Amino acid sequence: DEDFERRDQRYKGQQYSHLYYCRLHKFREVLGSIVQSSLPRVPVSPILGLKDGKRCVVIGTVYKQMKLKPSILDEYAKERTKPLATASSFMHSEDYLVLEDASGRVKLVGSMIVPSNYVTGIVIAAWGQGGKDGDFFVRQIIEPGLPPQSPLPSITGKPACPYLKFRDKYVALVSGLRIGSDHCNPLQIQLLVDHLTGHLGDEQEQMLSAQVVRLIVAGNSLDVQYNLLAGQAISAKDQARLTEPVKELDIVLTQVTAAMPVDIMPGANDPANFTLPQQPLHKCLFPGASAYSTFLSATNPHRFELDGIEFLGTSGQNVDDLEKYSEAKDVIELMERTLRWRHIAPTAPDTLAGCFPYTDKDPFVLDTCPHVYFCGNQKSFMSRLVTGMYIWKLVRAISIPRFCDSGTAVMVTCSDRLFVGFQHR
Amino acid sequence: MATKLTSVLKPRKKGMSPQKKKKKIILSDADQAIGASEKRVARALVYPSASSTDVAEDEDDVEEMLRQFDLDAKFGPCVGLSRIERWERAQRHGLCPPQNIRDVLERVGGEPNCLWEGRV
Repeated sequence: DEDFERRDQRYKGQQYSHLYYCRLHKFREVLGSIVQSSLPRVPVSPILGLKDGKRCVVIGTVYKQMKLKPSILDEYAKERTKPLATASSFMHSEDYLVLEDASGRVKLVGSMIVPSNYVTGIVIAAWGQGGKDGDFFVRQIIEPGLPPQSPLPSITGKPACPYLKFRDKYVALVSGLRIGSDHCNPLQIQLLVDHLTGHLGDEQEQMLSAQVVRLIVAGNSLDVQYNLLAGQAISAKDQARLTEPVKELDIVLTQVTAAMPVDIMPGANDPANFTLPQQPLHKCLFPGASAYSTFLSATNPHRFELDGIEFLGTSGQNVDDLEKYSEAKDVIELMERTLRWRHIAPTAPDTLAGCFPYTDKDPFVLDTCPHVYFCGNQKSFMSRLVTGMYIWKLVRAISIPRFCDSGTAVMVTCSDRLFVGFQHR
Repeated sequence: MATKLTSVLKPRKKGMSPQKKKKKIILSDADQAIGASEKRVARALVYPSASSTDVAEDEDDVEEMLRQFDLDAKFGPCVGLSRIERWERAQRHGLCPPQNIRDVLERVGGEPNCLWEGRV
């Protein structure tokens, strides 16, 4: 999590150009070596050096020119000619891609390019030739691909308890508790807590609960009533209504923290900062739970390691934004794309509202590939094994459904096959 | 169409009088009637330099070198960072920025920020 913590960085009025520069610089090296190995005789050319008909590779950041993308300047346009876009998708058939590097920009054309599969902010290499109109006719797009992954540890040793049938450890993932909202069902949350702490069921069920070693709460645990924060003085009754959900969440977390390590991540609606990477929720919100050493307030995105298995996940803002600006058959495909682009939130300063303007690095670039990649606050539970070009790079991608809507939490085993089971309450 | 990113400020060459500057100014008839001294003042306002126009040439050289470092696209954008921070970032990324820039910024004491700092 250290990469995502803000620590000494201060906002001094800098712009986002540094973030994009760091991103392009990092990927140029990666893509340069990939291009050299796969297309050895093709030169890499700066965009300004493109000539008609000359075949070369250009490396740059993609910018997707979208007709329906909301722009602040539309308010000043004399004629409202912009066609209406739905709130959930800004795609249009006339969108096109522009590739931009340090020297210039060029429009990408060709049938190989399907603009709906790409978003602004990814760095790719394009193999093709310069066209007559100054466009670049693309033959092949080269993406960075899955980053290097450390090998999975193999399960060795005898089980701790001879009665235990399965030696596996489970990690429980839940998101979207939304305590304090109208659709939240406190009974469901209490059932989940009882199950995790082993207060439910017969001996066999309790054995299963005993194997759960960690709980990750992936965002949107609270539903703060923002309409009460209208800027006027808050009455005592309203104050109680504001703090009630937080106290309830603290009680829930204290029960679980007493049993196992708990990591809580902030989400889009939680009382944390708005810009990504979101900083950990403050300990003062959880006076009961933070007394335990097993309690960890984590950043969003959250990266941790358990028994040699690397986990990485977000509270869902990155994937929700990708859904608005690109097309994919499901959420897992979007997550797979972020892995192949080696960037957790490529739309970050552009449309994904709020990204801290780092000057020296881009924290969302993936240097190593996680073994389990999760994303919270999605519509439904989905899971798939994502493979890289070489069969030994495997990532288990999981989309965690909202608990307030589905009542479902996800459990992942830490074994070789990363088999996933889910609990429905 | 591939567009060229041009630098806003072309570096001033030593020994050139203000009238011989290379910046193309398209003047209308009314503008041409303005006297040369007023043009010089106008240019001084458009290109404010770290030092005043009649300071020693050494400082001019130093500033010139630092401006070349600012405009070098290899090291990224120059606005929003102090020059030393930009040099250190370039070094961390393995771009081997010239050591004399660092020496100048630390010892001789060139201007810490680039020309557009606080203005953009």
